[in-house]
Order: sequence, then structure tokens, then C-alpha cells
Amino acid sequence: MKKIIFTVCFLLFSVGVMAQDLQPAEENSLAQEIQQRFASVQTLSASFTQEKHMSLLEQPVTSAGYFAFSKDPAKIRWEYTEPFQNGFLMSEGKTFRLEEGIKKPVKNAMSSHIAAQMMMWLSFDLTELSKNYEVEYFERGVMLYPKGKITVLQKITAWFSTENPQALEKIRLDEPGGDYTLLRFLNPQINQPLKKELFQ
Amino acid sequence: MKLAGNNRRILNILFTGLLIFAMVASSWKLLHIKPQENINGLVPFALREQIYLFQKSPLNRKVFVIVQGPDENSSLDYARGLQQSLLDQHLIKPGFQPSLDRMQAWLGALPFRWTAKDEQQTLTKLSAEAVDRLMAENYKKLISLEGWVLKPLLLADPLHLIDLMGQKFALLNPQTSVRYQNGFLTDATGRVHLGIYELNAIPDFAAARQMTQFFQQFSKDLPADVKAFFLGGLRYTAENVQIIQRDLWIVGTLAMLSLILIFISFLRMKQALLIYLLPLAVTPIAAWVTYWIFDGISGITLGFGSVVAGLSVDYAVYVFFALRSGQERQLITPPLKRHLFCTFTTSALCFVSLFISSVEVFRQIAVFALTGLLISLLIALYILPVYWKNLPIAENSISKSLPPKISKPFAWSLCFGVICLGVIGLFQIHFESDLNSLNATSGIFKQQYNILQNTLQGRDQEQALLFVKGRTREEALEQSERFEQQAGIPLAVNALFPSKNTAEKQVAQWRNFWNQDRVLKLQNDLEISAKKLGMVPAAFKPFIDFLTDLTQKDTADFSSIYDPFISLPNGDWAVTHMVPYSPRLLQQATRFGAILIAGSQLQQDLLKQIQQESLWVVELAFLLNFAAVTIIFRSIRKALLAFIPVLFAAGFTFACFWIFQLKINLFVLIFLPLLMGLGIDYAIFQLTRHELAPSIRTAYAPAALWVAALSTLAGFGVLIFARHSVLFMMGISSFLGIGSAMLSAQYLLPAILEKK
Repeated sequence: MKKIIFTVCFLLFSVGVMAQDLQPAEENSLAQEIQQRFASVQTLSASFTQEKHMSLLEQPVTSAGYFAFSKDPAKIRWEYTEPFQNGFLMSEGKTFRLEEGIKKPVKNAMSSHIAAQMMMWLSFDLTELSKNYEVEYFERGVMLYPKGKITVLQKITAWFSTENPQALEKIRLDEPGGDYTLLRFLNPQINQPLKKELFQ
Repeated sequence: MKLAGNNRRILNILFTGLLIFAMVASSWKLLHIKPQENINGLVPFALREQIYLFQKSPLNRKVFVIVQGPDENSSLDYARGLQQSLLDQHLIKPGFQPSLDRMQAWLGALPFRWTAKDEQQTLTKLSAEAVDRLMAENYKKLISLEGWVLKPLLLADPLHLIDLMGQKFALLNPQTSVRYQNGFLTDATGRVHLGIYELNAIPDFAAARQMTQFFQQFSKDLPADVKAFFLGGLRYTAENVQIIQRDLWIVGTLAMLSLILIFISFLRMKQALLIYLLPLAVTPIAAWVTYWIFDGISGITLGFGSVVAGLSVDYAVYVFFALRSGQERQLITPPLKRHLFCTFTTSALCFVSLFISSVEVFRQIAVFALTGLLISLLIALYILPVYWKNLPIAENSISKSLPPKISKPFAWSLCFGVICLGVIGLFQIHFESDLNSLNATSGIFKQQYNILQNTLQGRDQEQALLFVKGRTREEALEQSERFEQQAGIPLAVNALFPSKNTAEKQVAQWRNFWNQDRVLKLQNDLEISAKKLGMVPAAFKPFIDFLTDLTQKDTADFSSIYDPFISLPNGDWAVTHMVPYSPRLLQQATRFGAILIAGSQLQQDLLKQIQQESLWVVELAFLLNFAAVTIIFRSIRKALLAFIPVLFAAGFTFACFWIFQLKINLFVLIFLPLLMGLGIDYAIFQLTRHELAPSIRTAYAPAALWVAALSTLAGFGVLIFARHSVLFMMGISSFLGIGSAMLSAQYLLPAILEKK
């Protein structure tokens, strides 16, 4: 089942979030409903596939990998297994690059900044996101439009699963100029114990 | 008394009206001016430029925020939380945030900063194998999740030339043993995280109070094993403000109580209240005159000068007691006039000697005190007697009772002994050379300061600030480059901020390096490599265009990371460099006309200069007073006798400093001329009294001297209860100095003056 549960995403769902074509009362009601839906999710892990559609690539490139997320303390491991084994790890505020499964410290501020941004998107902390994005709802998900200076992304679209109310099916990251990345999530595991080694 | 005769009554009324008008007008004017808080006014002229530059240097404008936790992770977490809270409260400015736009701007800045070293490093990236390796790395990043973030930069810079700019920035941090991680400086254990931020407000009292309140609130929610605090100039302000406010409250209350006690003990008449209203009339006028002359007035002048204006009561006290003595006014007027003019002259000369100091605040205090004393004299002589016409004659117990007599040999022996002890003490006392001791800081502050020091430990050499000046920013940059060549030391700022001439040469070097052959080969290698990886070969065309662009302009702005430029008051500019200190470098800088400031050296220079100036002031005050008293009394013997209370007080004070192991600071030096003036005044009182015929000596009641001296002690001496080291030092010096001058003038001098 190509669905994933988004746990952390809406736990801190709050005021900055706006609903498209919804009345304020409906917005509040929806926010509360989503908050309740995802409140119980503490951990999440899943495999994923990623399609890169870039004008500079002669063909779209598909990658596969695995990610694990813990809400408290905040930790995330995002790792590709194909075609290369690499990724990143954020644990207790520190960022590491993963190369062939080996953890390497991130030295420059730019990489840390990028990793922090990715953590924010992946964790889908809407309180944080709403500081940087306008949030709009559509029938099956949300769309995030960058505010101000964020110019590398045009919008982020997240589709919620119709079958599992705590699940997300896919995310599409649209860049200016037409390039985009499509992430599809597979075999989600909700509130299952995560191996400590994943974050060490 | 003919000080103000009947024919002068109208004139006196006019004079009183004029005085009240001047007092009200000056007070109104003072309410609308802001006292100067500029440290330049406190610094000798020779060091003013150094202090100014030091104050304006890039790090001095920052606030240091430190978090210490039980382990590295929690320390980092709290440091981040604190940073965010400070930003949310708008207390600090957002720091440097890396962004693609900035990175691309930095890349665009590279041709203007292109060096031979950059060429060597770049050559290692230009082989076909190296290009393949870099392109494979780029491809990996492009197809990873962060690819869309890095894509513009990877396309613009597939050879990672931006790293060369990163290396130039890294050179700005001379503290190589300190780790820079996750946006913070950390110590070896990682338990301490230090953030350096730019304040969002002017670092004044209000900002200091706001920051203190924020940290008090923030610290409430922290676990016991986590500490969060701020340091830097703002913290010193916060600490000083808190302690001075507390001190002023205590000292003010005690001073008021002391004055009430003196009033009840010696005066006890409603007419005598005028004596204590005198400073209220004198202070605003003196302050306004000072403001008018200097086009501004320091807060310190107002504080110190107001206390000096307290001396103004002395003249009124002498007149008051003389008028209550029951003596004919005609008899006592000439000696009283002579006495007051003499006292005014000696006090004025002490303050006049402050004019030779290059410290502007001392000169302001001199003007303030001179004006205040002159107005007090005029009021005491010409206005107050009009309102004190029918004073009741003082009781015998006040006017006639003399202190118990002591024998002449005993008086001489005591004087000699105390002065000898003082001379020994003078060579034994400890002088506090640490300028930080002039700040009032709490015990917690000292602990926190140690944490910061330990965090920054590991520097092999003391760091110094080098300022290279020029008439324009451009000239300052050119001079910096010249100095780098002459001194043979690398200056990181020059690598990032080249002068126009150097930038032009470096662009030419860049163009020469990226010649047609080299660019064509690179383009070919990139296209082959891209094709192998399934990338569109033309994707890297913008990079090739950048290498060969002949229309480049240097638009990068690094000032948000480090701003080395300082605008000088005379319109010139200085470029700031941080360099390891060495005496050789100091010599080189001095020869070149640059300024090298190391904290320890600056401190030594400052102390040396102030000590030297203070010594000149004391010497000049001594000479002028000696000459004045000799002329007035037409007797060298009497002039020498007039210095007995001064010498006794100085000896007693220094002996006490030595015996009680008190460390003195430079404010004692500032106090010495004042002590000299007071000591001589008391001596003149006794000399004048001694010259009078016994029948009219009651006009010079010992109580007058008690009231005058105790009133001054009530202003100064209570500062002994202050926690602020400067105020305490002024308090202890005056308590010992004025107290012993008063006692020696009251007991020893009369005994010495007695004929066999």
C-alpha cells in the first residue's frame, strides 16, 4: 500500500495554517480534527521511492531508500539505498551526512542549514512551516507556498491517504522552471519501536 | 555687618532675583539635555584614539551569549532555544544565514580575490579524472533529496570553487583551538556553547535592563544544571546600573540622615536651612555653565560635580557662625572676607590645576566646581547676611567651647609619626591595575566571565587589534595591503576586502588563468563527464560563461559577517584586523602609522597616563596653593603650617591603606587635589582664627569647622557604604582623608600654633 502515515506533521498544527475556501470555523474544525488524528503518533518509519524530473537529466532518475522518524526526542534518519547509499541523520540537534552507511559530521553551515530545512519539511511541523509557507488545503492534502526569500521551491504538495487517516501517500516538490521531485512512501510503521542504532 | 549695607538693599534683592532666575532657567535647560555617556571624556587625550577604535572594533559591538549544560546535546539545544527566544524578542539581530543567493554572490566575488594559492588549488581539480570525480559527486547530490536546494549552486560551480572563498573566511577566526559547530563556538568538552550576536538596540542602560530581565525570565525555566547568561559591554552596563542604583539609594538616605543629625546637633534654626539650600541653587547654574563651555556635560561631571558643590555650604557655615557670635559686624567683616577669599582661592587653585589634565571630564569638573564655588562665595558674602540680620547669639556651648587642648610636642610628634607611616605606606600600598576593577560586578558575573575565558582558552598568543588608517575606505584598504607586505604577516581581512587596485590585478590574474585553452579543455571534460552520468552536456554552460565573463563586477557584501571598517571622527577610515600580539608587530605598526591594541598593553598605557597626569595635577595644586597662602598671609611659615592638615591627612590615609591592605584604584589620584583643597581650607580657618584678637575669636567657633567638615563628610564619607568600587574608593578616601584633615585642623594645628 503506497501510503505513509504522517505522524509529527500535524501535532503542532496551529494558527498560521489557512484553509483554502474554508470559513474560519471550518478551518478551526479541520485543524482540530487533524491534530487529534495525528496526536498519538510518536514514531514513524517507511521505505520510499523518489523520482527526480530535472531538465538537466536526460531521463528521470528513480532512487529508493528508507527513513525513520522519532518525535520526541526529535530524530530523523533519511537514507538512500539505490542507486547510491547516502543520506543524512539529524539527532538531538546535530546533523551528520551518511556516506556508505558511515556517519560524517557536517562541517559547513550551509549543509546544516539545508539539513535543518529538510527536517522541517519531512517532519511536517506546520507551526514551523507556516512561518515560511502559506498553507492551503485541497481535497486530499495540503499545498505549501514559500513566503519571502525561499526561491528554490515553488510549492510543496502533500497527498494524504484516503484509506488510512494517519497516512500520507506522496509528496511533490515543485521547483521554479518545471523541475520536480516526487516522493512515494511505502510500508509505513507507526509507533513501532525504532532501533537505537538508527540514530547513533 | 557691611557686607550688604542699606544702600545696597535694592541691589541685593535684584541679585537674589537674578540668582533665582538663573537657577530656574538652568534647571529647565538641564532637564532638556542628555548627559554624555561617551567614554572618550574619561580618557587621556594621548589614548583617546585607541579607546575610540577599540570601542568601535567589530567584536566590541556584540553581545556574547553563553549556555553551559550537563552534556553537549542539551547545551546545544538550550543554546538554540535561547537564540530563537532572543530573536523573537527582537533583542538581537538575525545572524548570518547561509543561502544560495549569498553563496552565488560569494562565487561572483572570487575573481576579485583570486590569488596564486587559489590557482594552485584549482589546478588539482582540472585533470579529466578530477573533473569526473567532482561530477560524480555532484550527480549524487543532485539526485538526493537536497538536490533541488543545491542544484543552482552545483550548476553554477561544478568544480566547487566556492570552497576557496570559504577558506578566506576561515582565516578571520584567529582562535583556531575553538571549535565552530552548528552556528556556535564551543569549548573542548562541548558543554559550553557561545553565540556572538549583534544587538538590536543601542547598548545603553535601557537595553542592558531589558536584556537582564529577559535572562532572568529565561533562566527561571532552566534545569538546575543548565546556565544561560550574557556578557560583553552590555553586561558591564547592566551590572553597574544595578549596583549604582542600590548604592545611590543607600548613600542618599545616609547622607540625608547625616545632614539632619548635623543640623540638629549644631544649627537648630530655620534660618540655617538656607545653608543646605545653597547647593540646590548652585548646582544647576554650575552645570549649565559647564555645558555651555564644553558644548555638553558628562554624567560623571554631574555626579562628581554635584558632590563638589556640597562644599559650597562651607562659606555659608562660616558666615552663619560668625554672625551668631554676637560680635560687631564691622569687626568681623574684614577677617571673614579675607578668610573666605583665601579659602575660595585655595580651593579654586586645586581645581584649576585639573585643567592641565587632558581628560575632558576632569576639566569639566574643574569648571563646574569653580563656578559653583564662586557663586557660593558671592551668595555667602552678599546675599545670606541680608537674611541673617537678627540671628540670636549662639549658646556658649556651641560658639565658645574649644576642643580639649593637647601639648605642642605631642602634636608635632603625632604629625611626624603619621606622616612617616604614610610615606612608608605610600611605597607599600597595592595599586589595582586591572581596569575591570573599576566596574561593579557581582560574584556570579566573575564566575560567568571565567566560563567564557575557559571557552576561549587555547590561544597561544594574546590577540590584538590592528587598525590601519586612511583618508578614505579605499586608502585604508591600500594601506592595509602595504602593511601586510611590509610586516610579512597575513591579514585575513585583506583577502576578503581587497582595494580596487588589488581587485583589478586579481581579476586580470583570474582572466589570465582561465585562458581560452584551459576553458575549452574544461568545457570538453565537463561535457564528457556529464554525458557519462546521463546529464545534459550544455547544463554547465553558465559556469563556463562565468569563467570567461569580462564584464564581472564585485557586488558581494560581507559586512553582515564581518565589518572591518570604522569611521573616525575626523572623517578618516580605519580597517580592523585581528592579529597575534608581539612587541615586534607593535614596533612595525607604530613605524607604519597604524595602531596596534592589545588589551593588556592598553590597560598599562591608560594607567601610566592617568598616573602621570594625576601627579602633575597634585604637584601643580601644591605649588599654586603654597604660593597663594604665602602671598595672602605674607608668611612662608604660615604657608607651611597650612599644609599640616593636608600632610597629616595624606599620611593617615596612605598608612590606613597600607595597614588594612586596601587596594587603591586610580580614582584615589583624582581625589587627591580635592583633599588638598579641603585640608588647606581647614588650616586657613584656624590660621585666621589664630590671627584674630582673642576678644573676637568667638566669631570663629570650632563648631563652624565641625559643621563644614561634617557636611562634606556627609556627602562623601557615606560613599564608604557603596558596593561600587569607584564610589567605595571615593568614600573610604574621603572618610579617612577629610576626617583626619578635620581632626588635625581642629586639634593639632591649634596646639602647634600656640606660642610657648
